[in-house]
Amino acid sequence: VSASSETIDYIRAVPLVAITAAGFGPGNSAETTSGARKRLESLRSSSTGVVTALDTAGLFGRQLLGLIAALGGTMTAEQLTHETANANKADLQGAIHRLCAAGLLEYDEHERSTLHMNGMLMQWWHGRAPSMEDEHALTSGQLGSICRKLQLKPPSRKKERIDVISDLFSDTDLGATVFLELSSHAKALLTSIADEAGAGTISAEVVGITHFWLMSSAGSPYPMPQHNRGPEAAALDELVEYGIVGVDAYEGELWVWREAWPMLARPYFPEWPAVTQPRLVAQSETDLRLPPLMGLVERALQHWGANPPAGLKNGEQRLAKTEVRRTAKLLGTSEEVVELISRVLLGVGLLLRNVISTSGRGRTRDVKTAWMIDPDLMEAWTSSPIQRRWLRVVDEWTRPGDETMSDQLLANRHLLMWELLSLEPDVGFADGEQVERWIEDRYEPVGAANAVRSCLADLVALGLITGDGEPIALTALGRLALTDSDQVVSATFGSADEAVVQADHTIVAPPDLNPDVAARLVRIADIESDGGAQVYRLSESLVTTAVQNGDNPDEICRFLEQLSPVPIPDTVRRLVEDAAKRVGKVKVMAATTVVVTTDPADLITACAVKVAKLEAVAPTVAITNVAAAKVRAALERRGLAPDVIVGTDDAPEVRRSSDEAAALEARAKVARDAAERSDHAGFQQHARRLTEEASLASDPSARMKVTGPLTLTPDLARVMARTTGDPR
Amino acid sequence: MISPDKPLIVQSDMTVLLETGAASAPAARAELARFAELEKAPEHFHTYRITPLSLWNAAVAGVTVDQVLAALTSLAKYDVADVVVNEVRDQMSRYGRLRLVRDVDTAGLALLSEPALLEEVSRAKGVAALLGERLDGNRFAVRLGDRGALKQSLLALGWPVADEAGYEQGVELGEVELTADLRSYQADSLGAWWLDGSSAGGNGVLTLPCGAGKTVIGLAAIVTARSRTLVVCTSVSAVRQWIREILDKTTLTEDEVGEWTGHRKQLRPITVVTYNVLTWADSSFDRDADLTDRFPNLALFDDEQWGLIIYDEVHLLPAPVFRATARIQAVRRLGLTATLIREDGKEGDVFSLIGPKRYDAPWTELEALGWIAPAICTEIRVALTDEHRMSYALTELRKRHRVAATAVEKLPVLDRILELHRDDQVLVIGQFIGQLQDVAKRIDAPLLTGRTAQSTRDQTFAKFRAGEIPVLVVSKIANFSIDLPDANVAIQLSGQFGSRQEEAQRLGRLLRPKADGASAHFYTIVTGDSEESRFARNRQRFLAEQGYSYEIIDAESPT
Repeated sequence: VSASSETIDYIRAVPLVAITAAGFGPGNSAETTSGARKRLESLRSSSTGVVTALDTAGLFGRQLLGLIAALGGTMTAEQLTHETANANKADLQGAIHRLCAAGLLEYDEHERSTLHMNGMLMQWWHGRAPSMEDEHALTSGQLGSICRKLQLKPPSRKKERIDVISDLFSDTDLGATVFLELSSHAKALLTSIADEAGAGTISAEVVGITHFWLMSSAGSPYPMPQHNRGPEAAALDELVEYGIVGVDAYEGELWVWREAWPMLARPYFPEWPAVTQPRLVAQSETDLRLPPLMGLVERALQHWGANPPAGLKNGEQRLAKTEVRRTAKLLGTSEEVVELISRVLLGVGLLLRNVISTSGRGRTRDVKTAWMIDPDLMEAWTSSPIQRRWLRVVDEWTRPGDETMSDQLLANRHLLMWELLSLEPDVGFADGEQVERWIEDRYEPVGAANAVRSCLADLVALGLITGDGEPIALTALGRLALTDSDQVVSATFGSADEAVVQADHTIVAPPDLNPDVAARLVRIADIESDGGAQVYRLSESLVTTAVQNGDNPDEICRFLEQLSPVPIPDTVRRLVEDAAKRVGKVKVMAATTVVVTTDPADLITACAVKVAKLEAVAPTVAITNVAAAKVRAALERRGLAPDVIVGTDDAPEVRRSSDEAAALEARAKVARDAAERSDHAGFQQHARRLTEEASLASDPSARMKVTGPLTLTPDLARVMARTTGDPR
Repeated sequence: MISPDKPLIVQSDMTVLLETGAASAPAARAELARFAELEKAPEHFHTYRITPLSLWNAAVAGVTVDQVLAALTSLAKYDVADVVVNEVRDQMSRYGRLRLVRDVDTAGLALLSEPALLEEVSRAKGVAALLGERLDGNRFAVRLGDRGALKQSLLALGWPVADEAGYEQGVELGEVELTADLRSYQADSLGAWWLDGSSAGGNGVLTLPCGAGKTVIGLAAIVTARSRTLVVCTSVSAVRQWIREILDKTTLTEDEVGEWTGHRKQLRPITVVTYNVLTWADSSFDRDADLTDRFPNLALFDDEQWGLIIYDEVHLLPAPVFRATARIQAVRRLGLTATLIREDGKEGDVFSLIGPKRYDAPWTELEALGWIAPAICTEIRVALTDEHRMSYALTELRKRHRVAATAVEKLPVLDRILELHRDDQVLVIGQFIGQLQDVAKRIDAPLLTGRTAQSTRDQTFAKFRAGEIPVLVVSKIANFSIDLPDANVAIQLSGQFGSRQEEAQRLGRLLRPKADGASAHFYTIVTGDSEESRFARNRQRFLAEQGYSYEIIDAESPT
């Protein structure tokens, strides 16, 4: 066994500390490498660092630490050999190496190759079997009784009594003699307790001792009348009287006294967990290709732009489940993907909370809000190349979000990305479930397997890792983004700009379709199949929505003509024309909502929609008190596809990020004035931060950029290690 | 690695796109036919799907995993994803691990496999009830009548059974020969179904376009099996047409061919029956009664020693016949259809009970070879007058389709088409009887509906075939199995909502190749901006997926 104290090994062993130090952890914003270096130093030597290292020690590592704790904090090479005879040697070596690298163990080759447990950890370690020497473990009188039971003359001092008991149990022959004296029930019970408890304590229920028997046992300080006691209770009394087993009647726990363990002549842990390293398989190189998620993002924006989703009354920065479900159905994708998209878009700020109505006063005050597109940021979004938009989505996913995002969630994401980045580019994990079990064991904070599963699902949706039953590994795009995000914007993506348009409304495009063309396509077509060539199906409802959002049917047809190397079929052209024709036949106006149609028959159809509660006031005009958005949605459901014209006077003002910027700038100015009047560093820092925020808010295009690395990468870790040096 | 000249694109969702313009497309099509199902065949890229069922059927036919993977990798433009390779390996390795054999000890059937797998499947819901006594670690007894249901349940679990129990031969026919020549694709499809008479063959579905001669393949199957045969078809007209064809194209005599319909009950070595007669329900029994008590005519399946059952238009198979078919898995079965689309989505049941799809030919491919007539499809949109538009708007939603479909604005367009095709044999097809009665009166043409007496129908069809009647107005009775070789124009006035299958079957009435090689014309008159135009788009989908393209034109304003 050789222990490494290199910082890089420390980062490998406890990546969560490094992830936090690099600014991706809970409550941080990305920092410079020098800032990260300082934080790493500080975290590593702190109690947080030790706890984090323990959390990431894995089941095997924790059992090894438990063993050393049971042995009093140190373990010699001989003890190691004896105690870990049944453990897999490679797992053992890996665990020792990792625990040493993490600073939880220290290896001393001069002192009989002894492993020492981290002092801070030793102090905190709970759950190890008590020693007779522990404070309040046994009274001097109880020790005297044990001595007499063992046919030892009790010395006068308590410490000496413990020593003679300990010496007797450590002597192989004497220990065996005591064991032989035990009744068969006591031997069986002792074996059960030793098997289950090992170096720790167990609940008495585990070995069939009821709480009542425990309370009435010889070791209990609360003696109770003894009725109907079974043989197990008598056996327990026997073991307690011999000083082999200890009892905590209050906690309901049992253990084998540390001093008595040598009598059993067996290791503390007969079994060691197998470390399940997920199987690695060869992974073929993937093309540089943006995920279908980007199409869905555009479609979601299109949908939410036309139908602003309601804000939650509790103010949380997320959409209501019903809205997510509805949008998922509309986009033909899962609710999880829509949830991901909505959180990211809300995080980027593309959807801003707008107050759409207020009513009542005081406790009856009711404020209705809706998430509406920020026109400023939307302009910056649409003018950014699609690669940058994708990067921004990934960036948002890797950063701390609003207060509803748990620190743990963010840590999970970065831990998974770290593990995936640590793989060679040509291999991947063969099986997702193995990865889940492995991560669950290796990083306790990640917790349940479903936490890993949902992170992996997000990574697949974002296009960072491969999905669809392929080995789990970073895609070429994912590796590029996480190691050098600047390269993504300048990288050459698909260059193909042709796709075959067929009469059955499908469009077959090669895998390397230009992403901008693909983004245009998904505005009017559903993706039918994506694993290889890209197959789209033109959708009448999507074309309608696209036209409602300003697309021109002739332009759509021209786009398809340019796209297709063969003439586009008549059925396709008609589909576009028919879908476009529906737009604007009915107009909805705000105020007390007014519906105007070009065709009186359409007005009759509209009036038949009960939800809209329309009342015809002329052959082509109807009015209602129902909100315009609701009327519009109801009419759309009936297939009328109305235009909405927002009234100029009464319509609510749509929030824009530029307005926010002005407010922020005003706050920053106040802070700067205060800073000028004070020498306090806090004022200066606050003013600087507000000024930066205001500046960022006033430049929407800057908010589309990714300004730092997306996660802790091995390269970044190496830089941190070099600059940090070895604190020891 | 990219090979642009190769014809296949293998998608990770197990679909395979075949580029029809590639030089090696025909070879690729032949390869794909062995282990994938043709899903659609539009003009440039045909879509095949590799399903567990198609892979298991390939395994039955002796195709190996390596052959499947070699075909995919050697013909694919792009690298084949690992997920596809793994799925092919996994699914094909499942076939043959469960075997159904004749058991000499019990004189019944036995399900054989390794103990662990038997344990697994026997605990599955739906399977346990179909298994009898456990004979030993590797065998379960199976009742003869549960053969189909057990196979269906195991298939649903993802464990296909190698059915090695063989067939009952049925009563043998005397010398019988086919007097007509088989076309190459007909011979191929027959071979794919028969599989040299092995127990792996002898069941399944053949999918060929209307007019491609499916009946002839059925006759060839009778001749090949040479055993008593029950033919089930859709209507009395179709029964008689089958009988005519049998007498015309085989050496079988009238004494050997019987009609089992509401009109006649002749039980003969070759008996042709309708689905309606088979599923006539005795109302004195409730729904939970035994199948043959409630549907007494289904006893026809069991009472005679049939060696072959042919299901014409198998996509119409009604539920009781499904259940009866599950019990007669020891009889060879052949399903024939042009459009294996069931709006109830029960295509899977057809495959598991009748057998897998054994052959499928793209319509346009047969058209190119001249085996079916080329067809020109045109949709003509008419606009409602303002008055009718208002009336349409006032109609409640569920009745709007009818109002749009029966719009009188369609009639001038009909007149113009008839004028254009005054020298042709024209079918005017519709859904609504009132509309058809008005049209028949207007154009002075005979009308055939479900209410028309069978004898009148037969006579009228005969006159139409003979060219004595140039225009025939028909309801949905002409959707299936009616052979009208000289019809070359069809005008569809109305249809059953968005039924893709009906659209394809109606076009199918025109696809018998014409003597002069001329094209058939299929017109659909649709009311624009209405429920009907929405349904029309769905109806056209199947034909578009078969490579037909519609020209859509607007009729001049009716005013």
